[in-house]
Amino acid sequence: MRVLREWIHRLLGTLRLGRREADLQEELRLHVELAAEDAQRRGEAGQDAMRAARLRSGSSLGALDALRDQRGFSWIDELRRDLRHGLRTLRRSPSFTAVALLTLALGIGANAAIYQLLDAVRLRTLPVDNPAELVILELVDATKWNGRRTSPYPVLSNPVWEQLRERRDLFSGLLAWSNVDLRLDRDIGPRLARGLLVSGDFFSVLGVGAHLGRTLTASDDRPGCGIPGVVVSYGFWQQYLGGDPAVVGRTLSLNSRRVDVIGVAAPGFSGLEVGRSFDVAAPICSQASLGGESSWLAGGTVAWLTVMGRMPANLSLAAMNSQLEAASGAFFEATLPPDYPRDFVKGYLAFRLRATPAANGVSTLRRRYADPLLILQLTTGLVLFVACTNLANLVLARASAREREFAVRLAVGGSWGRLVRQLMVENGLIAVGGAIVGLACAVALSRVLVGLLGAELSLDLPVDMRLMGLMLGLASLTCLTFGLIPAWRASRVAAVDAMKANMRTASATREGTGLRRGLVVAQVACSLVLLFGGLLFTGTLRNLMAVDIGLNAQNLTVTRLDFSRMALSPTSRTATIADALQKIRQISDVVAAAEVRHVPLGDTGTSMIAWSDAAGAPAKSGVRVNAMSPGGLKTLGMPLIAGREFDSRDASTAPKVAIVNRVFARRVGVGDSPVGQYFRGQTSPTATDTFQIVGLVPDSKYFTLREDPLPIAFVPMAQITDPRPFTDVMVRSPLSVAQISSAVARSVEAVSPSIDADTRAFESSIRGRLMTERFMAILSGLFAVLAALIAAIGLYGVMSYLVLRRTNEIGVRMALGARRSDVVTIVLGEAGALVTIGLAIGAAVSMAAAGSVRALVFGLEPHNPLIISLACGLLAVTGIAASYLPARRAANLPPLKALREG
Amino acid sequence: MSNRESSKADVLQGTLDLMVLQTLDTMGPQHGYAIAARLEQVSSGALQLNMGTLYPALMRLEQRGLLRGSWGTTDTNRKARFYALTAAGRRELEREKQAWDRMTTIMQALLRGEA
Repeated sequence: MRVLREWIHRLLGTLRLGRREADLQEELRLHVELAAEDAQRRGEAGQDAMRAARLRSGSSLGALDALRDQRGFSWIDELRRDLRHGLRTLRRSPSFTAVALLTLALGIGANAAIYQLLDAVRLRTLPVDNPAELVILELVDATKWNGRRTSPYPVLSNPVWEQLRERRDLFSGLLAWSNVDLRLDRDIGPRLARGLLVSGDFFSVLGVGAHLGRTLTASDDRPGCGIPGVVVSYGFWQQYLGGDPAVVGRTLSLNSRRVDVIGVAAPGFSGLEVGRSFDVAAPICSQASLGGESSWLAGGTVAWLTVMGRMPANLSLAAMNSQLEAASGAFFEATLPPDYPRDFVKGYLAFRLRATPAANGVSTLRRRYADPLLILQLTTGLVLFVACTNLANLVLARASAREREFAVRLAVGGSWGRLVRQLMVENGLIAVGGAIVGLACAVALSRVLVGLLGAELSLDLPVDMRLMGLMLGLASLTCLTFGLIPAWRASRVAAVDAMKANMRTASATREGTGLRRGLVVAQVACSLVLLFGGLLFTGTLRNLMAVDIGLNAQNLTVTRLDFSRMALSPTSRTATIADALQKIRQISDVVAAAEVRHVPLGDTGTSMIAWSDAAGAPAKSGVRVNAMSPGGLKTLGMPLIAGREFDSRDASTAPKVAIVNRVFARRVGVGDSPVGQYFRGQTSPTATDTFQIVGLVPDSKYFTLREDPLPIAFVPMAQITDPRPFTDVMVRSPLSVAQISSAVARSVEAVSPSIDADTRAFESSIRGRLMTERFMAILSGLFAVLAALIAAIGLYGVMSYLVLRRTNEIGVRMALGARRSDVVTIVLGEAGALVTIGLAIGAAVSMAAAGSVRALVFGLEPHNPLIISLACGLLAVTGIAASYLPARRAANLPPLKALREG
Repeated sequence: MSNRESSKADVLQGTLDLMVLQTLDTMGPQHGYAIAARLEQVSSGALQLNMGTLYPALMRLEQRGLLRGSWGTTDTNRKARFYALTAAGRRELEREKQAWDRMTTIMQALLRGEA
């Protein structure tokens, strides 16, 4: 009881509810006074009485400490005192605190932001049951697929999927899905919904339940099902259906058909593709109804289903693959399309399936951004390292300045542990403060980065516990790094040395200088690596911007005309487009306009196998095909080298013609002046045609700016079948995009109010495709500048300190006749040595690492001596500039003063 | 930290507690200096109590509810904190005195027997 009571009092005392400090002091003061009076009474006078009283009563400070200990729980109290002292110390040097917090916050913030992105596109596993069991099935050599592939992901045809589905022994669960854009009623919100066509047991195999209603089942997915119903995602339900609790049974209009909502998927599940969350999911059998003119269910040449399976427990991936290999023959035997061209039958039957792990889902985003993000993560890691070395430097500088304070405290009996603890608290405050500010920065920065990557991107970026853990880990790591060094050094300062008026002779200080020089060298080295990277990526962006794309991107716009609200037959579609083109060409200031099958440098393309029947011609080769209406070349700004443009002669019934580029002529073997020559092409998986070349154009880019020129054949729009419910019209005009946009919209409106027209600048879409490069260039450049700046600050600090330490020596030299320029040379020489060592190390590291970024660099050799020299030069200039100020200060020292101070 | 004393200190501390309680019992409410002076006087100068020993002990006894401290004025008209025994303090004093007597009897028997 008594002990409990004492503890309660102590707790209250800790909470400052016990006796106050002044109260205790007052009591002790009285004690000493009374003791002094007693001494006086015994005959001692004045000072002597006071001294006798003190001797008899002991130290007031010690008693006060003991009282404080007794009052509360001392460690809490001491921690609080340390915290308060730490805060006060930091407040006393606001510039130090600001610089320290800022560097740390930037370093941690950048790291956390990039980590968040990297985690979202690369590391996080799917929110489904046992994602590690999931594998994706793909063709071993998908490039040999003779037919359409509708997705950048591994895809199989529906007949192959149906064969696979029957082999229940291979997997413990199997599912297939495909992306499809679906048109929603205007009143619901987005005009295009991101649809998923999924196999019946998609949700049950993944273990994703329904939040409301039910998910799809195998019985929903049967041939001829029409559209039995859709499951909407939780996000879509929340955002566009108002979270309506009675949503089950409501109908949506998809591609102008009424469809029932049968359920809402569990929250957190947004599909199997990272970066594209789904809105509605319908069974695969609905493709026949939703797909309009083309049904892919029976087509053995269209690969459009991504097939994923669950590995049975206790089966290795290798064992799975050998089973698949053995079973593949039967799958392709059974699914060989009846009208398949003889030449390709052998290739079709030779296809094999392979399984690869798919725990993280699929993502084009990952393919495009994972490597850049990883490099950026390393970059930000280096930036954080530079920031930390700088902090260590700052703290060391402070510690040197406070060595006397430390020594005095140790000399009057302060404990070393207490001193260390206090330093740790001080640096802990900086670390925690830096982490908090950094977290705030990170949240903002990752939003900006996602914005830079693309507005239509849907990435989950929650501030999760892992991120918090990472931040705290980074913070405490930095805290330890730069908190312990000065504490350790302080412990080694001999009190007598530190107490000496002339600090500059203290031996520990020289050691500290060595450490600080080392830190500066490390900073310069890291900065060089970062600067080198920054220059590489900036150079890459510049090279890509300067690439000759083979057409004139200026004054060119693209209008997407969408007819899906019109239910057009193919013939009336052609007439409608011709009508619209006619009206657009009549707009004043429109130089030319044409319909194109694929907008150059867009996401889509068509390929064809082409060959020449002439003797000695090379073997068949794959070429790219694009189609355009008459006037297409003029619209794109592609000059004709020889021959003619397409015109009204090239109708659908006329002999097939093509305009080819130089690479095509060389690859297919039709000579340097191919106009008038013939070549043959595999136009569909089951048909070949003969084309006459009517024109020759220079090489142009097809998919990307980085690609080497591809062989391209342009064919007349009228001579291909285009089943799409939309098309792209390109317009060349000096008018602004806004002007063109409204003028085109008016012309199209006159043709039919049911056509949707959406116009954008062609150039901006090219810039959009350079997003990764722009992203890398901007960020790596920014980080490099940041690191160089930090290194410059570090160098400045160290040189100032060295000058201070050598004041005496400089005084002697000047007294002996050294000129100011000599002094400047000495100081700059010392700085130069540090910078040179740092640059040498940095250059070696850069050269060693350069090879790993080869894939991200364009038009540059990564081991580029020019770039590394440029980086070295820039840093050297920065370094000299940073050391010049301390050097000049040294030169301007009055010699007498310098001598006296020494 | 004071809540982790060694056993030796416990003995001394217990003794000091007993001395303080007994002093207050004999003399009535007293301030810290008076307690120290009294103990010094009784021991003929052999026991000189440091403030750092005395005041934490007073505070501890107060925290345990054996003493109650309150501000008052001395006969020389000075503000001082006076400590008085509480009822619990008196009971504790009795218990401790008996324990002390038992202990000294045992010790005397032991030491005399040895000699």
